[in-house]
Amino acid sequence: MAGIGFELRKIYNQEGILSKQRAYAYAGIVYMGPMLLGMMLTVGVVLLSVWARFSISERDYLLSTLTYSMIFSLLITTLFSQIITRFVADSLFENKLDQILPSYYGSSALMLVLGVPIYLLYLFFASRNFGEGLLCIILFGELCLVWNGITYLTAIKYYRKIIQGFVIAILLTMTLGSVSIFIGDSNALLFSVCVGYGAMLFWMLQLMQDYFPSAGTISFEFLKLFDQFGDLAKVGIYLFVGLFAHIVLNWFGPIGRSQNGFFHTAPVYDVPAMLAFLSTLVSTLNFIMSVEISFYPRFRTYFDLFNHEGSIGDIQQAEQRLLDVLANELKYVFWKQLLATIFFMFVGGVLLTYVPIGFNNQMNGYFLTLCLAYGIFAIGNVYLLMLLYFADYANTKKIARIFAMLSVILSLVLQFLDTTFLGYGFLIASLVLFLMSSRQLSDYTSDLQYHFLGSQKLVARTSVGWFEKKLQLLEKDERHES
Amino acid sequence: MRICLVLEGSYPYVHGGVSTWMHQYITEMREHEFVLWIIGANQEQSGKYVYDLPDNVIEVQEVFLDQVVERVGPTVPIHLSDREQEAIRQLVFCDQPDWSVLFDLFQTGKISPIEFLSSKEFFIAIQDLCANEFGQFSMANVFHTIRSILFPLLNLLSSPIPKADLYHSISTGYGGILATMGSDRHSTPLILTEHGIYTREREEELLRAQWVLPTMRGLWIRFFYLLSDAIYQRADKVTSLFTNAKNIQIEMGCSQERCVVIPNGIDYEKFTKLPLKSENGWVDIGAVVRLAPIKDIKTMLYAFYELALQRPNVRLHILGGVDDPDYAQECYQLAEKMQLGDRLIFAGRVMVQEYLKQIDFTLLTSLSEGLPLSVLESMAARRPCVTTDVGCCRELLEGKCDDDLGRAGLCVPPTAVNELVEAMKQLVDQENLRIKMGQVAAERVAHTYRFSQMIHQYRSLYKGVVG
Repeated sequence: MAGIGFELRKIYNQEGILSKQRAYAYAGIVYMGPMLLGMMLTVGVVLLSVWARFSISERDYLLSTLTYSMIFSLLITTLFSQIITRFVADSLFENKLDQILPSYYGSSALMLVLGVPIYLLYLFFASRNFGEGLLCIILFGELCLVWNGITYLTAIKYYRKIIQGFVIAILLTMTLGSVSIFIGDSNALLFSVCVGYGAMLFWMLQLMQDYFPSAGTISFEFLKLFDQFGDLAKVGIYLFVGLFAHIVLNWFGPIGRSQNGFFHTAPVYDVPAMLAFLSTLVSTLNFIMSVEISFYPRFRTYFDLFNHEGSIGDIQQAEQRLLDVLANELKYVFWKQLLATIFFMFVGGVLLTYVPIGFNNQMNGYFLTLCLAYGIFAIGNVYLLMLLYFADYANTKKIARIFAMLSVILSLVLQFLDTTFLGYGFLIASLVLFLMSSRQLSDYTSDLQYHFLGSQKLVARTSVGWFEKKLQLLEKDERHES
Repeated sequence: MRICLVLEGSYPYVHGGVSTWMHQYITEMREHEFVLWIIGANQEQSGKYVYDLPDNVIEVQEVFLDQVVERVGPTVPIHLSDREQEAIRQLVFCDQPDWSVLFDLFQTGKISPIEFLSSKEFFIAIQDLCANEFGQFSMANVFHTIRSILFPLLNLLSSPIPKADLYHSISTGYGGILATMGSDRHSTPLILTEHGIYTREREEELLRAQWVLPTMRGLWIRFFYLLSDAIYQRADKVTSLFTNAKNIQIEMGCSQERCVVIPNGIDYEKFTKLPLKSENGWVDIGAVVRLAPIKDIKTMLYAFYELALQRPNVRLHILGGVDDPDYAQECYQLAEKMQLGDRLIFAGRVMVQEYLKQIDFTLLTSLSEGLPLSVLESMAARRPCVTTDVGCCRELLEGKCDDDLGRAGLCVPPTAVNELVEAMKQLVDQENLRIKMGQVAAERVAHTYRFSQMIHQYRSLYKGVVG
């Protein structure tokens, strides 16, 4: 009798037709830490330079070198950080711990290969002397490796150890810096910063080697994820651009100042921006805690129901609990950030006039604008991180791209208007980010079952991406040589 | 006339009863042109035919259950009308959807199967199904099962339709639905010929299958009933091989006036000329079967083992190719353990007409059959048969109510080893009985089961539906 019933078994069992969604528990919450550390060190160095009675131009120059090294290194690491986060999370989930440390060496090497030549070229024109250029490039290298290390340690939730590393770096820099200012050499303070970050790097390497098994090898396996999670990598880049565009553009605008020709800064904007940014810590830290403590257990329960025997009733019940927790946590984050922003705007402004950094009315105006902007950004960013948590990469990328574009375009346009309005570009971009991300999260969670189960890919990806092809070629060459 | 024959998992990919019948049928109908629309299990089978196609086969279009139809051009948002939504809901519920709407949806490429099975519209229907009928079952299991069920079907519905003046499906199931679609889209007549009852066979397989989650068996079975229903409701004529099969078709929803019995026929003259086997000290039993679970070869081996212990002069010749390699391997291992030596012969695929010269009577232990050609051939060659009581076998061996020729063999219940042994013992021990039953067998085939009679009936059927 005609018929192929038995063949169905083979088709049913084929891998890929019923591809299963893997758990994704670690969202990109890492990029705020490096900025915070950079700012704290900058404040420290400013205090030391005031104490050492540096001239204003010398102080600004020193700050410029630090800021440029930091921004260059953040730019390079941002290209990798989201993908590395995903790679480490996946490796931890699959219990492939031995491939984590080799990927740190691989990604760090790539960052240096990409970043050092570009920054060297810049320093060739910008540095006043060889020693200073050398210290800048060392600092740049250390920063790349430190930011990259933070990504790895965040994935294994070594928050406390990271903060200990921060404290080591700050204390060492401040102690050495205090000594160095008596030497009188202008590079001594820069050297102290290098030692501080060097110590932090050493501390982090030690932590990683203690946690992850290592065969001392180097691996570029993580590059394959660029093929699969290109959107995720772009989210990091767009957020970076959106966050820094308004600052960098102001360096070259009407309020910008040139330091020795090549280094530009705008202290009247940079200092309020840096201080206003601190207000975002409230929602970032709150988010990390609430995700770990309240949200994740509900998320896990809900997720498990799809992989196991959850009936529609079980799933609906778990979904309601999950969404209740989510709504509560977002509400708390919103209120806490609102209070923090109000506190910063009214109390911070008053207190800052007493700090010896020349806080004036213009700066106060920018500070108020940017406090509001960063406050709104912080909440929008929490929504965005939730979208990443739910693996809605495509929409997160879309929103982050609009945020970046608005931040760049509006900040650029404002350079030609009254300087009072500088910062409004970032404010509007943040507002749009907040509105879009909250709307998207609301849309997404209204269809959670569909996103978890219904939208799963039916046929496995069989094409090999650009990065995977390059890696295959590389491996082939290596085998050929050996 | 240009006739599209829709075949599933049989001709021209594998040997077997249906394939042999189909090959002879096409060869005989020289006045018609045939388009073969054939469904294979996987794309590796493409172009690998075991038959040389007759000259009047003017086109072959292959489709495979594992093929994926991708969207041509960019993905666009899906907007489904209320009718389309309702048809999809009913498809997911396996509840008589408006097939014309579904054919239109997938044939126009408005939506690809992959997009559809990942769409919100589909998922809403699944949620509805879970809420209404599977409230206590795992939602993920229901979702993945429905996806697995519909994925091959929707890919088939998205494949191009060959043009024809008439669509003739040789089974219900996937083949039946393709023929229904061809007839619906080109507004041409539709004929269904069932050699067994496809849905019942799938049901039996599914009830035994290990790969189906026990909680999801019901869904799979419902799906195959749904496919049968589609063609039963739309075919202009539905043929079956014997009266019981026709009754089952009617029971399953096919209207009585469209059901016709057309028994299979063979080339009687070719087989009746074969001489009876000359005496050689052995009683040789032949089994013309493919090595497939549905033929229940294991029961055959157990029964023959019992017989061989009691009668030293018997030999069993198993004549047929391998259909399921895993199952065949199990049979070989079982045979080896029985240590019957030369008394148990796996001869493989042979020229049956030639081999029958060495055979005294034949054996068939199938769990399911239609009207087996191998039994007809054996009967025409004056070899009586021992068969299981499946399909048309009892009618062949004992005759219809208006037939008083007598018995042409012995019929026993399926899987009944002891009854098989006793029946074989009768024919082994009584040469006269073999000869008498052989004569009845040949007379019955001559009277009712000639190939020319069958072809004549199909010719009339074609004329009737095309008008």
